[in-house]
Amino acid sequence: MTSEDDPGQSASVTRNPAPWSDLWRAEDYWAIWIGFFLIFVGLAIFLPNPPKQLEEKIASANATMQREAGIAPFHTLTWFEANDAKHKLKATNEPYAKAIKKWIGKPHQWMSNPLDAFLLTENQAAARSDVSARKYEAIHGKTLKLEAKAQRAEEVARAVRFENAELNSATDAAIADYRIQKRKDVKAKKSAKVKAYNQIGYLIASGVGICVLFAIGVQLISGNGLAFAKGFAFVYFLAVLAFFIAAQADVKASGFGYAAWAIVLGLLISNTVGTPKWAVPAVRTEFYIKTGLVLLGGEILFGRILTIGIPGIFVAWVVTPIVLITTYWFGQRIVKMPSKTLNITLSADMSVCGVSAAIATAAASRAKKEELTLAVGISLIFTSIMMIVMPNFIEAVGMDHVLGGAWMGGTIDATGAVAAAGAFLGDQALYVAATVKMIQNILIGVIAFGVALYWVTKVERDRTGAKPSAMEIWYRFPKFVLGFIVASILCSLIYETMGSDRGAAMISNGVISGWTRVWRGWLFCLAFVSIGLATDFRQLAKYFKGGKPVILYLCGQAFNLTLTLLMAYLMFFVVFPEITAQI
Amino acid sequence: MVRDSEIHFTPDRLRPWAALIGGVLALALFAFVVIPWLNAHGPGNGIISATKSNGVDASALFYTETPEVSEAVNYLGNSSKYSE
Repeated sequence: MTSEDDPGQSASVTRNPAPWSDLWRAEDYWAIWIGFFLIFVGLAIFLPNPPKQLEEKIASANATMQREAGIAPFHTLTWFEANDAKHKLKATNEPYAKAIKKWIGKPHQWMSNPLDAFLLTENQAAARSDVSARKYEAIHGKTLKLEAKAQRAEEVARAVRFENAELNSATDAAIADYRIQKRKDVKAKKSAKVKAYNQIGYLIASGVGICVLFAIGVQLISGNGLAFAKGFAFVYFLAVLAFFIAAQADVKASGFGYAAWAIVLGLLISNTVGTPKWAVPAVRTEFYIKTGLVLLGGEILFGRILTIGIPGIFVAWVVTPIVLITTYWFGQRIVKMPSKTLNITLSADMSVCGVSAAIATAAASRAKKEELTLAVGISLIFTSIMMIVMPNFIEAVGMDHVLGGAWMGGTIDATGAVAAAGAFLGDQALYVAATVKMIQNILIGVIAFGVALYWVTKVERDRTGAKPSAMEIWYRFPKFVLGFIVASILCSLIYETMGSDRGAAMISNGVISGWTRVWRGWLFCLAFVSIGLATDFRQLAKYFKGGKPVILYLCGQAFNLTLTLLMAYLMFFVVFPEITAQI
Repeated sequence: MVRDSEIHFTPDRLRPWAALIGGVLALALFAFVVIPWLNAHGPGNGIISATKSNGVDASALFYTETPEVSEAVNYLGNSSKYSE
């Protein structure tokens, strides 16, 4: 985003030959240093502490699944038990990871008592456990019945060595019913284990940690570290408040996350009583976003793009760039968007993965904060609508769940909404939808790099008229994007070196889930609060003129829906039906 | 230094604060009354209630914030490696 947008902002990107001092004086480099510091701390904590007997348990689960696959044409109950046992192998389940979660965690989910977000006494926890335990017993009873039914069906099919197609089909269906119920069972069991907590002290500790890291950076960038620290308390308080609103169970289920609440809270203050002057030095949208993006880079594991084979690549990595480029072109030529940066931010937001893609693209193209706000707002509203409309439509027309899952995964913006819509239809739709979305998420590294390069070489050249030299491109290129890419390559290499099973337990369900993504969430929330605190509400209307952003979003999404459905059908049912049969 | 006794709460000074309080109330009304009501009575109540009972965080922004993705990757990986 443009540096003039940030009240507390010094020059963030070097325009002239970069002196070495940029390494410790420029914001882009500080975003990289802080991001990598957090990534390396996470690696140092998690990698030496894997779950006990990790290798043996993985080998045992794999051997069981291998054996079962050799005797039955479908996944047996034993196969699923081994599958679940492997999935439970997570570094985040270790006691040290649970302690970390407590220290850096956000406000807890709450239903009707707002205090539950921060504090739960022993008595309250016991009372809630009792209620949840009763609910769990009812659910578990049903689970046991379905499990027994599936077991009986499997025994009958096994007795004839799984050679009777009719019995196999009946067993497969009984197991599928049991699996759907099992998901509810696992959730209810987890809810029944309620422990007392007091999050207030930990929230203060997290805030102090982030404040110290960024104050050091701000001090070296502009000598304003102390003023930053004073103002940070205010910005951080609003971030906590945004997480608190987002943690309400109904708000969470509707898909409106912290990003929306953080912007709205900031806007409310800046457009009524005004952002306090003493808080302005901590309103550092770019610094928080860039650092958050470096951490996000570490979450992009390139090896995972083949999870669902070539069909997934086509649906997520072929359709998405086509939709992105076409929508951008459409926005420039037909809709005549008032701003190229708003156009690309909105196009990426709609075609790739919603808010996270909007953040990455806005930062790479130096879009204005009002443009990012608009893109995020439009995305959140349409995500909530599509999360409800699409699964209902798929059910109504009787669409195959693999096709429906791929369609939703490729078109609904946010991953959480994709998972909610998929889970409504069943496991098959959920798995395909979530995986297609994940592959699309991974694309944002490439998109951010491509947009940054295109902006430096083409859009900014058009503005100045001169073709930039290679050195000029280097000077202008947003350096934090390189940090983003290097973080992704580093974490992907570690993941691949470990192998997918060990990598899943230690990297994705360890360093990332238990460490980097939590910090990244805090930083994005601080960035959105800062955007709100620095935005004049009336300026937003200027970008919304003629409803062009909504027209662009709707046209782009219509094209996205059509092309994704066509590609998903071709890939999963015409070209690679054998892959669909395995799901 | 301005002493407390010198601060005058004129209508002009109060207006921004009234707007802030009104905004906060509207925000609370939307988040904690309108959204829950729509969840319970709106056209999407089936999906919202399934989302709650499945424990899915529909507001997650990225795949690493959604445990269901990890479950899907585990299942699909095992399915492709260990199927007949």
